[in-house]
Amino acid sequence: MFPARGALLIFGHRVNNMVINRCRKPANADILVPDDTVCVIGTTSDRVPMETVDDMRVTPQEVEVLLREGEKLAPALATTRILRAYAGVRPLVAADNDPSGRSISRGIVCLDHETRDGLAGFITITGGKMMTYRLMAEDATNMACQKLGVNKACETGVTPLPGSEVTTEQPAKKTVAVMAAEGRHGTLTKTFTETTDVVDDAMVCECEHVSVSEVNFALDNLNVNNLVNLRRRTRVGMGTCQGELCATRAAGVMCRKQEQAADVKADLASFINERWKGVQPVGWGDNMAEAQLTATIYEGLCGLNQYAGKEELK
Amino acid sequence: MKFNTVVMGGGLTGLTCGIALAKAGQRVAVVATGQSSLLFASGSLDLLGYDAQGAPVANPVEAIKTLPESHPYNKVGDVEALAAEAQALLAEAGVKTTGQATANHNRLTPIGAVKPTWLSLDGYLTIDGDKLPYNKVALMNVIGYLDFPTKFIADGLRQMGADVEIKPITLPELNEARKSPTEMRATNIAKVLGNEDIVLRLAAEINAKAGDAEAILLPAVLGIKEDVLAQLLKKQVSKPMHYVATIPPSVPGARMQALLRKRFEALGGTFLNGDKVVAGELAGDTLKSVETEKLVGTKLEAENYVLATGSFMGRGLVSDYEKVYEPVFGLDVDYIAERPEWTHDNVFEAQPYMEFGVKTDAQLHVMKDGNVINNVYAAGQVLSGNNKVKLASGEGVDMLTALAVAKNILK
Repeated sequence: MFPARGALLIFGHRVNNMVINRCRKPANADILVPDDTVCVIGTTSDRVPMETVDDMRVTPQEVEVLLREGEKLAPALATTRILRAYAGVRPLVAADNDPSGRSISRGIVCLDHETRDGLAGFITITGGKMMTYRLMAEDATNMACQKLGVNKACETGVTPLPGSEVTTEQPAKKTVAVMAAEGRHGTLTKTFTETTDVVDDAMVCECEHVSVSEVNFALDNLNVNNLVNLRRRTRVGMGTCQGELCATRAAGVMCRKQEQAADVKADLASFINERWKGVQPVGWGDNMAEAQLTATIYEGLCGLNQYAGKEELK
Repeated sequence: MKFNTVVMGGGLTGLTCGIALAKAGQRVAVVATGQSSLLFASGSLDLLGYDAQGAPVANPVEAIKTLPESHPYNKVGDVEALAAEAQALLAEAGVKTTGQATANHNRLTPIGAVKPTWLSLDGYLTIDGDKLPYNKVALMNVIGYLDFPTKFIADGLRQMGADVEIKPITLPELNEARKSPTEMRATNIAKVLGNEDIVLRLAAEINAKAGDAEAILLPAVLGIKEDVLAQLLKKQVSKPMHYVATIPPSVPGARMQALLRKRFEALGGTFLNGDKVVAGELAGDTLKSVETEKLVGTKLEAENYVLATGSFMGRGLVSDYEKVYEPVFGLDVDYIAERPEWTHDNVFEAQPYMEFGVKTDAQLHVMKDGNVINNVYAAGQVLSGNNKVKLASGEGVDMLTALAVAKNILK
């Protein structure tokens, strides 16, 4: 295993609608990817010790490199608001003597430990990227099936994910909120937009157009049980305000039973801290003004710090 | 245009200073962008809620004496006298409050936490210690209004030993407003509930749902311009009723803003709304005039000037990749040079940037390139040395420094 850390910057809106890539040997900040309402510049690549793979703090040095190189790729980035920074660690598999991991292929490695190490019934699937996770699942499933004597090919490559089925329906005029929801849930959207009343249409998150019914849909159908899960499913709190008001509304909707209230408030405190971790490395300009407003609302007005766990207070 | 004093900033600080000066007979202009941090107000005003170590404060006047030398309260003089003056100034503007500077009471926050505070607007729930004055309360909320998370508030009330029942209420007009998915915000609801007829019907709805509760708690969604309707509802409801703060935009804050502005204008003050000072003409240690964004070619001239433009969120301070600066005059700012030192890792730690602000001398004069500017003062959140979130000191610093500056100008 070759853990290679990469840091990225997220900008507040799209400056491009297609991927822009610098045609050069892989280096820092050479790809600008539009994603939903934002665009993302990345990435760095540094080999990190296994003990630090859970440390996702983006350093000032990483921010500097990404800004300096990113502006060469798209000069508009110099004047575009950065929303946040984040980092991840790639589970690369080292193939040659490459100290940065930069030249390692992001290809998929599926190891059969029976033939390799004499360990029957043990498979490793690694390498790859988020983009290729279904292909990785296919490789691993096929190898497992072969071992189990199941004579059937994995079908994930030809089976649409829930919500991504091709539809021939010609829908009526859509609101912006419905269009935004379709971007996230595809054909599943109608299960929660067609049966609701006006109370359920109310906006929880105005930046990303998330309604009460979408939050309820995520709670009921998508295994959402905390605000970070909800954010990943609906983009609540991922817009320009980074959860300034919407997080409280979302938490209020999530709190279905009175007994949950204290736990949901603690989850809200943890969520606000998670948002801060991405803002802090780019905490200047508008972000500093926004951070001060968020602190004024959540700690000053609401006293949310009283519900923060030890992790948030240290 | 000539004035005795030009105040830059039309929030709580700027209006307090403007009113104090106008009341003393000065010709005053307040230049206001139109929105202020009062939009995030709680319905209470804080003087000092927590000490420098984070412990809740019982007597703000005493606890203020323990603050570090760098805190702006050390430049205002007699805190207790100024606090009384601030409360009187609010009352004269039609903002009636209860509370005193020598004894904090508690307020209930929009998520059901309890925080110490100095003054609460009439009609708002106040708590002495950690016990509610009632054993059983009905917590009412407008159906579809998400900025008043009732289960969170009920949790807080139960922690204080109260029996709470959550009761949804509505009216045909509110049902209508609800059809727009973003209409259910406090200030919008206040507009819907903006006449006597509807308030009387709201009172009937509340009375019908009150059950056997001893008291009724309602989100602060009434009375955006003046107190009359909020008081009318209180009278018409058959049980004791109190308002509780909501998630912003704040109705009590908008009302305070409107009433203070009205008071300032009634005293003859000039309120330049939707404008801001963008430049000034400095001659040595004196500011000769300022220019605004909208009044192109017109200079505002005054004997004295007050900078009440707020901190980062008010744009009174601006930061970039390399520095923190005061954007209008480039005044000297107290801050840490190394950007990674501006913040700490966890959001609820004391963030160093919160204390950044313009440098002032003992009379609250601002400085540029190390030299005192003799006729420019700073007040409110633009001052350095105050973490208003950790100390719960926002409104107190706003009003007391504004009054101190007014006194220094009138000397």
